[in-house]
Amino acid sequence: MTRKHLYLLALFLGFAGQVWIGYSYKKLEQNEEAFNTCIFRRISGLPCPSCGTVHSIISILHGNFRKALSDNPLGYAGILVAAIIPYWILTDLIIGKESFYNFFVIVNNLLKRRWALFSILLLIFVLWMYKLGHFLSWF
Amino acid sequence: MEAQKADMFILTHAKFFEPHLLPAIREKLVATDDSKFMMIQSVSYREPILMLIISILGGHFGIDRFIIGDMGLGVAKLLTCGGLGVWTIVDWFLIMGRTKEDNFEKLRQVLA
Repeated sequence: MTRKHLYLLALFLGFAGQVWIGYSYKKLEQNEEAFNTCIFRRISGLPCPSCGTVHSIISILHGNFRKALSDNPLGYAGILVAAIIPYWILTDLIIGKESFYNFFVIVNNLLKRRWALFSILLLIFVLWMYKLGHFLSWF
Repeated sequence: MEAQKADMFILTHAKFFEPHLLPAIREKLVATDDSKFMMIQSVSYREPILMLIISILGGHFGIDRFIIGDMGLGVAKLLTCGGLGVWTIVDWFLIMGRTKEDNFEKLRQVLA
């Protein structure tokens, strides 16, 4: 993937994510449910591994760290990514460096090794089971 | 390589590459040694239409990105629920171009 394409995609997604978090924050403050975007949940009725991430991020913003962990532990990673990556790319573009692209290439090459990819997929699977356990305990 | 062989390759493999790259590919093929022809033909190129179907069916979990070899983006897509559904839709439009780009990269590695 070329540097230009990666930066455009990551910038768009980063800012779109921030807008979405802001929108959901407002909706939840008014005690309304934000629009559910998860296709998997809509089809199967079960949560996908990352369902609840936005709720979790909003709980972190409210300082409710325990609730954030029970909503979805990925919220901690999500808030870091949404807060750092768009500005990292903008800094790169202003200074004229390629630090984010180099970081992406290193991570990409690392994940091409089977053990790294499988350990991350296993982690996601465990997270999913945790989420499903929470979901099923509501019944 | 003979110009006829290069033309035949372009005719049969045009769908795997971006149209604007085809003249450059032909030139490179003509300049390449004949002994590499078998290697060039035996590379398994990915079908852009098939990738689009995979993206529509499994894009929500980043399967399209994993198959192409963008592991970092695949994990990111999986962890964000397909970028809250937005990235999934964006990728329906990007994935064919990305597949063709990846195919060109494969061919370039063989020709190098």
